[in-house]
Amino acid sequence: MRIWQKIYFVTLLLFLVMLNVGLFFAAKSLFSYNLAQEQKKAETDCFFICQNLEHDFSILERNGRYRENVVALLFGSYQAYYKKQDIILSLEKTDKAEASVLRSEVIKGGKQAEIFAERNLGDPYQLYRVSYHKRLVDFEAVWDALKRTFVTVSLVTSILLCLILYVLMRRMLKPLGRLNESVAQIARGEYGQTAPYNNQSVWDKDEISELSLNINKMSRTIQRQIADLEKESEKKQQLMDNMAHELKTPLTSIYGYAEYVKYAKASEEEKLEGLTYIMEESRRLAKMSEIMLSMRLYEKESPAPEKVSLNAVATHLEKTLAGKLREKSLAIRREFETETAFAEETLLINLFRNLLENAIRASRAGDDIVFRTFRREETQIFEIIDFGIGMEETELERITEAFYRVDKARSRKDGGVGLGLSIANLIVKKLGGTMAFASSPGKGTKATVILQHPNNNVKSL
Amino acid sequence: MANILIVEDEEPINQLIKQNLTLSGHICDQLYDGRTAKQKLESGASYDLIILDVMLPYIDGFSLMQYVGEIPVIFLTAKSQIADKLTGLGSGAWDYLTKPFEMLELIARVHLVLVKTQKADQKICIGQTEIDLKARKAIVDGVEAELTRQEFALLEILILNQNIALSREKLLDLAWGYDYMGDTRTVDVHITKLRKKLSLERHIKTIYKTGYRLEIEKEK
Repeated sequence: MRIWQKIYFVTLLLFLVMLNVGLFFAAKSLFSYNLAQEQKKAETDCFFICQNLEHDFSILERNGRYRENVVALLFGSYQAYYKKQDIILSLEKTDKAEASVLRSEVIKGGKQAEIFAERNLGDPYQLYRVSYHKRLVDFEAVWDALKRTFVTVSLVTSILLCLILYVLMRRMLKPLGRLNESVAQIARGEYGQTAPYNNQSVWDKDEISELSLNINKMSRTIQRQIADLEKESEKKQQLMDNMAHELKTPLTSIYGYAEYVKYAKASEEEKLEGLTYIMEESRRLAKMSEIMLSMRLYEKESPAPEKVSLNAVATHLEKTLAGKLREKSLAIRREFETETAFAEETLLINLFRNLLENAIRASRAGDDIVFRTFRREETQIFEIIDFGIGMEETELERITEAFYRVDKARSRKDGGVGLGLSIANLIVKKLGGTMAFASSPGKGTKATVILQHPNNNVKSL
Repeated sequence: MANILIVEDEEPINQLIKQNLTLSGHICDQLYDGRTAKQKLESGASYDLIILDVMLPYIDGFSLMQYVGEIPVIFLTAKSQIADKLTGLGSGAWDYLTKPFEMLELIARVHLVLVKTQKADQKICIGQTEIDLKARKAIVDGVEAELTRQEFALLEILILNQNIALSREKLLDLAWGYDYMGDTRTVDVHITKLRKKLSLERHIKTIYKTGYRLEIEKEK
């Protein structure tokens, strides 16, 4: 059952009961009031008749005509007069004098009502008692008329109420229906669906419009979060796909050469070559898994910032990369405007090693690689610049992608697995900084890392 | 013997394919990226078959399809998703192999393509023995040797996988079929007969703990 139907029927029922009960009691009290009026009138009449009779009797007595038959005659004229008003008067003579008290009562029986009133005349005629009896002939008619009026009023009001209430309920609860439809759509997974709402006037600003507003907000938030999650999972999927591919390549070599060595008619030399490939590729797999594991660590651990001497870092890196540097007779030129940095040393070393390795790979023999750092306001900027082969714009976009290698052959010769910049990216994120690349083919590449620098550590060393 | 172009950017795999195909007596050219492959194809180089990787530097394998012309192509790639296979086959490739691949499978598929394009050798000479695969005949010193159907089937498998050792189980599978219930001794018996009938004692070698290998000298 719809909510408007519930409210409608309950309201209607309550109202109708109230109305009819109210009307019933109103009729009842109106009728009682009428009867009371009649009773009062009877009492007044009765009292009045008694007064008159006392007066008449005293005159009769003064004239010496106070006799039974005269009294009867006199009373007969009263009777005749009141008979016209459907009132029956009677005069009794009691044996014992009673106090002159007015008594009255209303007798209701079925559809009829009668009013009795009686009073003994005042002293000295106390033996006489006048009784007043009125039959309310139009009692029934009055009651019927009242009932008819009330039933009519009740009916008309009820019908009007039915219609007005219906229209009102439908109109006021219509937004709820629309809201319900929208929520059903959202429930079916159509996020971003917005429930219509009207928030223009104070009258429209009710709970339903608020609810619509909030549901819209909720729907949009869910949609955004789902999109974020999808993007995230797509990224993960991409990484997984890349990884699967990266695993397949060395595995294909390992299996293939093993098969070759085992089954093929091959010279010792060929077999040795195959075994060398197997070993190389196995080592590559091992390195890959090692790096992937360390990537997980970068993601998990929170860095502990410390004051780092950049000269020490650079010297350390020059030693680590000495072989590669010598091979191409490259030199790292330090341009340090400031000698310190504030970050975790191992992370910094890892970051710059990855960037320098890329720079070395891109450089031509005899080139310089510039390692530069300077401060700008709250940040410290690091730049690693090579003057080597550079990259196309399209390649630049993808270089931080895991397993993306601009030059696969060269990379694998150096033992690269295509995760260097992914790791650099992770580290920079971990350090709360940003990393950007600029490159032009044939001229070289510039890697820029921007890290926040805490002010209180600027003055040191 | 066919002329085959291998385009594969992973040097060890490229080399592996070459070595495997050389065993069957094919001659291979090796290229390592899409751009040089395109140049080579545009220069009108002719091959009997191209083994093509999909993810190649500069130009990917699917895009290279427009330059190959009439040359049959077998894709050999790590992309094993059905969508990639459909793209590969839809682009006109003859076959689609995924990494990691088995040596025998590669050789069999290459052979199949060469048979279809009638580039496969039909007559093979091993020492004094001449084998006509089409006519299913073997001639030793000018005299036709009488081979049973099963013996010839075994010989065919050995020739197809020349220079590769095949286990007895593998030979049973390939020459007799998976549903054959015989044991590996059957293989030994047939090998002995083949050696004798075709005087291939020197060529069909028993490989210790592995199986048999038909060794054919590479033609110079």
